[in-house]
Amino acid sequence: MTARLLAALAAIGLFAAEPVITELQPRGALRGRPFTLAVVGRDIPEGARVWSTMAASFTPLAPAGPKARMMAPGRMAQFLVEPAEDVAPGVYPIRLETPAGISNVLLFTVGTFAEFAEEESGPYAEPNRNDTIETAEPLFSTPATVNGRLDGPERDIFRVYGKAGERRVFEVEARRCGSAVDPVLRILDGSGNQLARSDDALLAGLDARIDFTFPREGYYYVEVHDARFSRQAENFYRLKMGAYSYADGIFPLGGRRGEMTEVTFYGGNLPAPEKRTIDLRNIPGHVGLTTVAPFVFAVSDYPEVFEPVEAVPVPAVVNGRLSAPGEVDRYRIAVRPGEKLLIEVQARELGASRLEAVITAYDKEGNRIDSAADQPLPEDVFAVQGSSRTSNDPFLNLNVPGGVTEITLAIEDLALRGGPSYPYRLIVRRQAEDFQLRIVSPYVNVPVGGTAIVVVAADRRGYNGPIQLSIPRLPEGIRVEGGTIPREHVDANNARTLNRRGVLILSAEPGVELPMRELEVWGEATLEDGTKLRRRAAGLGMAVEVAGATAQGVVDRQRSLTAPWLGLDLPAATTTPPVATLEVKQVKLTRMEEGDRYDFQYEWKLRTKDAQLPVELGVDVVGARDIRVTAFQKSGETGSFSINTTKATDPAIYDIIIRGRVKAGGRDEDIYARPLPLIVTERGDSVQVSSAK
Amino acid sequence: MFRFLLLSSVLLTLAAQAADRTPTYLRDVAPILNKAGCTSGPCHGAAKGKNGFKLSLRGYDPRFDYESLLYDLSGRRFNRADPARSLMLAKPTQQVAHEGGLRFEIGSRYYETILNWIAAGVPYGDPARDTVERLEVEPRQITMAGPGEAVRVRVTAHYAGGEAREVTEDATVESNVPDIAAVAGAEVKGARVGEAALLVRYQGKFETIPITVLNPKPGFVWKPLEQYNYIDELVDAKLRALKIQPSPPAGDAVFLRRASLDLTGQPPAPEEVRAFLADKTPSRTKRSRMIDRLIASPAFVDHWTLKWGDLLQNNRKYLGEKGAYGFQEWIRRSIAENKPFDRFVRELLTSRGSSYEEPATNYFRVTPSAKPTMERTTQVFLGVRMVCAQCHDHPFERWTQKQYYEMAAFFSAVGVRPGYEVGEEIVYDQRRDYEMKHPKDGRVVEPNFLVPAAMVRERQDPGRREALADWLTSPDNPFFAKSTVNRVWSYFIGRGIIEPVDDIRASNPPSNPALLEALTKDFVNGGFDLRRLMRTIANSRTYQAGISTNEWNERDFDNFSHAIPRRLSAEQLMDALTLATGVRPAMPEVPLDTRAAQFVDPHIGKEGFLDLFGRPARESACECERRADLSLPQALNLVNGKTISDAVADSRGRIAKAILAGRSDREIVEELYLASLSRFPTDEEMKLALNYLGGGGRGRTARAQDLLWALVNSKAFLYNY
Repeated sequence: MTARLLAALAAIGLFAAEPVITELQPRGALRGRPFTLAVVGRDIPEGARVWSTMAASFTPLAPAGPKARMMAPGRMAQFLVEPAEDVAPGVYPIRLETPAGISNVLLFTVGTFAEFAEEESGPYAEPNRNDTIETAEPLFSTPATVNGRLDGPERDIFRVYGKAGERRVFEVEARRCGSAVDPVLRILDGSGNQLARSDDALLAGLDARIDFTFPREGYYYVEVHDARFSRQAENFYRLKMGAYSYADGIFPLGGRRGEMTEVTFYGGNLPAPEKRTIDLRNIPGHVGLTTVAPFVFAVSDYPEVFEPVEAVPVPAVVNGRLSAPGEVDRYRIAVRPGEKLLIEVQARELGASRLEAVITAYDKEGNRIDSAADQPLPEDVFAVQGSSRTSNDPFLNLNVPGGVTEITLAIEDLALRGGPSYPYRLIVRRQAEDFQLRIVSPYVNVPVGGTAIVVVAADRRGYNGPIQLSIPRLPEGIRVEGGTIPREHVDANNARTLNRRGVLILSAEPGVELPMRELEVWGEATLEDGTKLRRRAAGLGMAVEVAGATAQGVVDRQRSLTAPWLGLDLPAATTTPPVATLEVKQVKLTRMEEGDRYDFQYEWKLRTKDAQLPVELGVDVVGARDIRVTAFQKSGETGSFSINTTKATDPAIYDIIIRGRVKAGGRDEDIYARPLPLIVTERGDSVQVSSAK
Repeated sequence: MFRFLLLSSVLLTLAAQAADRTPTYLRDVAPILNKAGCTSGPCHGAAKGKNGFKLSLRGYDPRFDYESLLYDLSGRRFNRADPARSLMLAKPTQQVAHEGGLRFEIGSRYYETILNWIAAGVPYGDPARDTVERLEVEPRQITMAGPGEAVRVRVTAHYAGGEAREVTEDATVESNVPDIAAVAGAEVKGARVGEAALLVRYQGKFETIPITVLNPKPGFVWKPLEQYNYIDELVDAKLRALKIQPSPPAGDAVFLRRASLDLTGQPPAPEEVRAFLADKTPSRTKRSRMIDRLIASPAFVDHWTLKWGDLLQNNRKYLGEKGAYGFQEWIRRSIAENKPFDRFVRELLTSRGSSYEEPATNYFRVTPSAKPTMERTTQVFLGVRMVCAQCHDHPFERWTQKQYYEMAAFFSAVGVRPGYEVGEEIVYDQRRDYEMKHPKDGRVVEPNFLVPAAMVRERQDPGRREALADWLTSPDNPFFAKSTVNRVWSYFIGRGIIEPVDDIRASNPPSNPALLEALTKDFVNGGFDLRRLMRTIANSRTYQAGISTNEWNERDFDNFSHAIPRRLSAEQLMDALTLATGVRPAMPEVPLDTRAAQFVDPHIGKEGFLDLFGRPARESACECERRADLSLPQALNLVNGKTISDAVADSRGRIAKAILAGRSDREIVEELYLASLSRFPTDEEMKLALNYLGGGGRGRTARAQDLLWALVNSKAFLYNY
């Protein structure tokens, strides 16, 4: 293996690119059985290795089979996978490691039923072959899992046989196992009459499930289609059927790190609730979510209490449930006048609750002090379509008014719903201001001798000041720069600046090699009282694009599918050197009445002669408003541009991220310069900010 | 006679008393401003007034108008010292430039009244005495023996103070069908045979007078036809009174095509036509069975899902893709299970929660604010258009601006917030800051029903929307059931008993009140069962009447004496074309075999064949959004467009299959007629077609394609008749 890897390393050419995987074949396997896995994508060199959390050996195979024969070199790698005997059913990441870097992650499912592939998904299959009742694909055995695909706006129909009174569960796994399909499941009779339908099943996210009792003996038709009849790149689904048990509720929704937590599974077709113990003793400190298949389970560092609770200690996590429609849960908390509390609810985001929570704080007399998530959002004039907006679980930054020594927190559903599927976690802590960070880039490959970009999003929870991002403990030869998220404030026009994005630029010195390694991203802020606040950014795990409609005036922006529960921060590796590097320097600062002008010069350094350089560069002054980038000039491999500020530009230090797209060897490659600071001072202030950082 | 004399003397006494009275704005001047057109929409009644002078539209707010006259322009509209030089007189008499032209002459009655009023110190008047309480119009009903006859109406205003005076000259008299009843001043003249209504307005009050112009032709003898149900009894009663002889029922083939199109949105398949025509069961019985079969078919669900999708504006533009599919599924399920209509509406109006979990909530996502939601609700479910009353009292109805805001207040607490999933929104009741405010003074307007709500059952703690749903769907609501049956009737007959179906008002009376009343009662008694209503209508002889007319009903288009051909709707046309040509429907963004009636919203196939033929954009709740017109682009598309030419020549279409199957020319001709026109060809048609197919030159396939092209371009294909 090592020899093969080294050979592959030596064979890396100038334009060898980081690998990308687009497909796994199959998408799942029966637990405990070896299987062949084809990893399809691009830039997959011979010798690529699989990285996975699945306890299994992945042995590379020589390409075989009709599909492999059709594939161009570098498009597929095959492996014989031998899972360990104790591999638990569940969803596992698959990533490739190559000398040119690491790939994205796709998910693979280990199931408990025999696995089949839909005939239409086969290599030479006729399209739309099982789109009607008349041409439905028969499924003969049960229990079973059928792996199918939805190629654009189509239906897949399967014929099953049922006996009168027989109960069977039909379930489609798609979003839960990494597909962009939002499945709808229907059961039809032979005349096409709909007998049952499921779109978003209880506690299965956007996936579908039908617990069906056949009314009479005969053939029935199981139809799977996408809820929007959309066309997706990740378009697979797993149709499970069998007389199996399932729960659609869990309580509590989380537990305390370092403890054993007892949880109850309930609902679904369980005859009675079942208790299980979840081991949270070895959950790493930075992980806030873990999986209790198929649920996500929250992990906290505060004492856990359970509803009903007379008086809530601070800090604490209250595990409660709105058991009936219209129910309002109330909690008393002893407070000190003037102190600041951060009150958060976890419910909908965990996937195991339908609660759209409203938090209201009252004083002892019942007067409302403040509330969260109970009003319509302000109109977003920039939203092309309002329905693309989403809202997360609410939080409330509460400033306890003078004279108030006890508050009551009320938790209710926005639409006054309630029932078994409305559990929640209420987190109360003495924390004036806070923020959370999320690494938008699920992984990064840093070109040797070049740069790579990592975008980090901030979820501000009361803290509106600047945040400085960093990556500690970097290996030798790897450097990180940038990472400033400027403050957020209400500007002179009464508009709120939304500074919730930071950009880090990683660079690797020539000759440095970094095998895959997880990097931590941290953000640091200083509160008004001088307290330092450090928060570790959570990783996405993976990001699968979900296509929305953009045709004919309709914009339906969809959210990428991510897997933060994988607990990955920022997997990183080095990749091949870039085709060029870009060096930029500031050459002049001109102060003017209406604003300042910053002049820059740049120079390309090419590693190949046939590179096509861009006419202009992409210049992003992260978080700055009222900025104009002008006066692009280019002459050969050098050029210049200017950044202009106005009177309204908020005085701060900004990161200038400069990108050029270079075409070489038939590919486009984005090259980033090392970030520069843009120092904007107060108007009329003659004092220069002395240091960039 | 004694009583009449007594009444006359009382009236004269009152009039004499009135003549002695000092003119007031309320009683004497405001009617002049209305009659002279000063308060009309194009003049000072416009939303922003005219040339700096604003009056309320048609004088609905006399206090506002009075204060405008008095205080605008620093009170310089009046010259108290020399009233005749007042601007208020100089302008309308064009003594000074007036963009609105001459409104009345110097020395006219209007001039003298205003002059006296100014001289008297411009008194406003006492609302308790000078407000018009009601109008009295004589005669109360007008029946003319034939066109050319004329009748003069007399209008008397009754005031709050007990006074009554004739105001015929100052009242506005209008006809709703001027080509039946033409109005000149207060005189009404019969222009042609038919029915119309007079709308008489004066100072915010109005009366409606029905007019009938009878057919003067001699020799009418009523020839009774079999009456299938109560509909025919009530239609016949009206026809007989109007001397209109109804047409007999159409033949079986026509019935089958018509019933299939009206109930399921698609014509019958050739094999269904063959079977129906071959069935020897008595015609009425087999038609009734066919109606039941069609109502039970999946195509019925598709057709009415489409219809309600239009009215409820299911459109991804408002709801996103998944929202639109979810709402369509909710409508479909409601229709499939024949959900009683009152429950259907109640579920919409009281829906709360996630748009993904409770798709009925999408109703509120189409118009997320209270006022447009109220306007849609009243228009779709009550047939009442409230939109005018947002800015001023309704000019042709009793609805006031206050009522507009009172009704809108039922929805003022509705909030919409994004949910966790993309495209999901939560519909809920806001807890604070949601009260409806009146635009004039900003005071909170409490919700109140359009008409008194004695029928609404008591609830312990009703939410606003629950209370509204109780009232709206109550069996006693004077609009809900009536507007629903009227709307459904129009879908089957091509014209509502009240037309337009979503503009019910006193000034737009039903053509057959007894029929509307009976249908309404039957609908309510039947538990708001739409299928039952449709079954009743479709089983009537009136519905099954032929399009052929006789000398007595050839000019009748209002009383349902014969069928009126209707152009197929856009979706019907596309699906009929698919059936006729035998191609598999294939449209981008939807699965293969999805028929036009199954499209989720107007996004599918946008700006193509369907839009050309009048598919509604679902941006309005108005029934009028669906167009049934005929245009040159449509004709050109039918003749030269790709939709038809490609379908006719499809390699897997009906003709290709018939040729490949070795069918004879006669079989092919028969098949093409059945598939396109839902009937067998006549002997003459068969002969012509066989001659054409057997002609030399171009191949047989091409000639068969020509024949099919000609058939689908014929009126018999394009119309439901």
